[in-house]
Amino acid sequence: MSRRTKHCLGAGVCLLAAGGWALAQGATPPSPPPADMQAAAGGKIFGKWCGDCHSTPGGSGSQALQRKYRGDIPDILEQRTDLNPDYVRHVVRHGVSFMPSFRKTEISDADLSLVATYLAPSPGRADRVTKRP
Amino acid sequence: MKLPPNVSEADFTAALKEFAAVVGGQWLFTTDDDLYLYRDSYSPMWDEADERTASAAVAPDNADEVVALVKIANRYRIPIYPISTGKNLGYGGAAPACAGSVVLDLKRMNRIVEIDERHGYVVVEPGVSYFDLYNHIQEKGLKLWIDCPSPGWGSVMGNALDGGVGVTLAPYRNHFEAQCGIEVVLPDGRMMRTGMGALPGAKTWQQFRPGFGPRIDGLFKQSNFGVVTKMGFWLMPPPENFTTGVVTIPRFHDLIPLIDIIGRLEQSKIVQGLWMLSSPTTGTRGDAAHGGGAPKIDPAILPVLTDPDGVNMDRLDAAAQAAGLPFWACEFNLYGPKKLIEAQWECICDAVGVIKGARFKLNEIRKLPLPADELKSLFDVGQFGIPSLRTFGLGPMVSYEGEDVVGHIFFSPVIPRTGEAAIEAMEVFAAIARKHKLPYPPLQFPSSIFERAFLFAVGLPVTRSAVVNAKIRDVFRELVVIATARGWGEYRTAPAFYDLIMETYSYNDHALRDFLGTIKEAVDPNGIMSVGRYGIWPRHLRDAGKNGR
Ligand SMILES: Cc1cc2nc3c(=O)[nH]c(=O)nc-3n(C[C@H](O)[C@H](O)[C@H](O)COP(=O)(O)OP(=O)(O)OC[C@H]3O[C@@H](n4cnc5c(N)ncnc54)[C@H](O)[C@@H]3O)c2cc1C
Repeated sequence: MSRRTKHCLGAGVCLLAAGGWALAQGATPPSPPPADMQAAAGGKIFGKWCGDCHSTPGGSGSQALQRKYRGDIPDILEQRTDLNPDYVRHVVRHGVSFMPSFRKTEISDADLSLVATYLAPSPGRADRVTKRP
Repeated sequence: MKLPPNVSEADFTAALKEFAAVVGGQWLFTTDDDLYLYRDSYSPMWDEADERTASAAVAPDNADEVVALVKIANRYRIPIYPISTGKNLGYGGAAPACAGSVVLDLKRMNRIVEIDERHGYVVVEPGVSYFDLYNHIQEKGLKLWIDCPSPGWGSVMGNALDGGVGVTLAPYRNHFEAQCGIEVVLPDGRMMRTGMGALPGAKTWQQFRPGFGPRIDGLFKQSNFGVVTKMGFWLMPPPENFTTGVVTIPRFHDLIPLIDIIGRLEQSKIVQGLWMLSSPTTGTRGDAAHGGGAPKIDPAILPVLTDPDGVNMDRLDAAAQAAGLPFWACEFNLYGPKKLIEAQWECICDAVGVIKGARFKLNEIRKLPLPADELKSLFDVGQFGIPSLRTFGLGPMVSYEGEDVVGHIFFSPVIPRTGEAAIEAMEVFAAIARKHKLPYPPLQFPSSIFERAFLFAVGLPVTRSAVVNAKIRDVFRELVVIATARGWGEYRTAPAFYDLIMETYSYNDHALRDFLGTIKEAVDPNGIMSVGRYGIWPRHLRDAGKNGR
């Protein structure tokens, strides 16, 4: 299953595309959006910022994870069930190996939370996880 | 609180308050956690006292805010360091050149101001990445192609301002050469437009580069005279077709006539696409040349290639002849209407045919765009004007001296476009690699990315160990000495080496550096703009530059 999402034009437009409620850092959404909308928004942001390296077996991030875990856990991030949101936040803000850190002007705290939730295990999550053969 | 150099805490606090009033508190960054994000992830001075870190960062949304911020900085004499997307990995990341500067993070300014299919240009703000521009063109269905560097997340503007390069056709590959028209906020906060843009209501800002009077656009490449807020770039119409043609030549020294012949074809504008050297003898990759994978190394050749004293080219040449292998392959990227590609190839065959034993193979001419599935399977797509991050999968050096490698710094000398220089550079840099146990292939090839000279970029490993990084900095310095002695200068470098490299451009007792210093004094008397970038310092901070040499 390829979840590669098209990169969208500039961060501003991406926020709009993410349902209009994924507000810039510092703003507070009036009420929490439903979980599936959150997942869709998180998926879009993931696609824009992470997808090129982490969504396909040939992606540079997938290759690095393949080298690291030798196939013990999936090298495509969306197939993993062990990612906790704090860890995702930490890696995005600190970088790891060749992956540099990402600034808040690139991925705002609000967007990062959506990505972290998107990648975290959740009751519905098992459905969209493709098991490795 | 980390303070900028020569700024009091009271002044800094007051300035930060004024910055926040311009951009809104959420776009001013001062906490340690936030400033961590403005460190260079590939810094060769990580965690050392000399690592160049920011004292704050501020992120405006538009050019008016930039004007306001620059005026405040100038009033308080606070050094500011503009970045566009800040992904200058290998050449400094998002970190400032002078420790304690306030980073002016322009990523939020991500508008495509104008895009014109008829005349083939785009005007962008700093935060527009190659991905952004590519996707915009796709969404609008515009008949335009972009030329991108290997990592697609960089800024069209930032890459050009740092002298960056791409991989399609010659007139578009050197990104600063493909620019037309700059809007810049000068250190006193005054906005200026270059070229035809100086004429209010100009209709040809992106169409006529010379403008009226001196052409000053070049002053904003690798310098520190202003914050660029808009920049025009020439784009190309999408080529109808693409293919590669592969030439092989039998002997090691055939490289010399080969490069001369290609040079003439390039100067005549017959060869316009990138061409790549590889060596079937040494098992180096060359996609089309070898049907996709790296060729197996002949068992008789292997001992020559793995000789601990280095590869003896005469022995290798003899072994290649005995094995019946051509020493060199050269792969040409060819673009355009089918009949143009065929005509170009015929010219290449005629010209290179004078080399005894040369062989030619034109691969299937493919209509563009290629099917999406096929693009997905390719190692790189930059040659199709498509941005990606696939370069990061290019077999990174995983460890060096027992430490995990977390990035690279590039040593990037420009060498003459001759076979003699290419051979000399290969031998010289292979010797250094052996001496310091850098795990490079036995032969490294020069890149034809520039039009009239070769680039011989070498990625040196960066780790999180201060000891290993110090060693790498020494290797870098050694490389600079060796290159300079041969008349090879760097085209670009990381902030850790700005002063070292500027020192090598010393003709007539540093006339160039002094001239740039004179301009700096005139346009930035308070010395606030991108202090230290490319070795240009304001008078009151020049000692900091001397320490870097
Ligand atoms: C694996 C790998 C492969 C690479 N391949 C390539 C390649 O093929 N080609 C290539 O060119 N590079 C390459 N690079 C180097 C680098 O990553 C890119 O050049 C990248 O595009 C530069 O970062 P950026 O675009 O985010 O520019 P930025 O970091 O935003 O800008 C670069 C510098 O320009 C100045 N600047 C930026 N914006 C402004 C402004 N608005 N006003 C005034 N000054 C400004 C600043 O000093 C800044 O530090 C590679 C790096 C790696 C790690």
